[in-house]
Amino acid sequence: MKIIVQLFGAYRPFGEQVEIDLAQGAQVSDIREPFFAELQLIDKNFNNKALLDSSRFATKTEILSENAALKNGDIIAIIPPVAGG
Amino acid sequence: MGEIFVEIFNSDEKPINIEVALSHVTQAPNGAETMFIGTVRNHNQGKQVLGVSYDVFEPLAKQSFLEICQEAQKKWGKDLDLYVVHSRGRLNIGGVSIVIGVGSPHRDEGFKACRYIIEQIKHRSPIWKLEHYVDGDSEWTKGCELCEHSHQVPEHSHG
Repeated sequence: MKIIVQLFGAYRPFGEQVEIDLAQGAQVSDIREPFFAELQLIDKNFNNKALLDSSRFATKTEILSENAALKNGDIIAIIPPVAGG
Repeated sequence: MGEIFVEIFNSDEKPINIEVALSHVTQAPNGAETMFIGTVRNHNQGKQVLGVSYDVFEPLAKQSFLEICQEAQKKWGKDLDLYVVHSRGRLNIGGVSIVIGVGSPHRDEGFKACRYIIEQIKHRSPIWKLEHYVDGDSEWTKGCELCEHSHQVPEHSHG
């Protein structure tokens, strides 16, 4: 199934969003590995796993838990560490 | 019941207006208006800063502002009038990044609510800061990692 990940903050240099393929029944914690691979396709020098590990995923209304279920066509945002104010 | 206003303004279209914020929370039942104004400073961690650009995930940011304001009302009074606006886009030194206005019957709850709102926003709201330096470089500042359920983080000072 396909998931759109919208990019913010330190991920902005990779564009507005990326699309990743996941197996049926995947959950939020399954996003990181294919997402990381997708970013490396865009920039082969990208190797910031610490940034990825410190990022969360969210919908328009809430931060998702790592075991939240995903479905085909979901659009979610990646939320790197925040720095507002 | 106090009123809550939360919004994101694009800096190039609608700069934050502090007088408007103040007028929102200046209501007849209130004897105290408390404001927090965040501005862009010209240095950070030894580097000279020219300006910053804020990135915002708007729907979730506004949702977080609303939840934080409702928490403040629960803690310090349903009658608090609250105004929170954050900038998105490029700001130069001295530019206003955020304004928080609290209108309250008395000063104590106003100070506490204002402090609570800014600290919670810094820890919970999906907003990011790209600093632009004098040497031509730019860098996303290190921020706060969100918890899985990021609610009511400790009120320690920050940034």
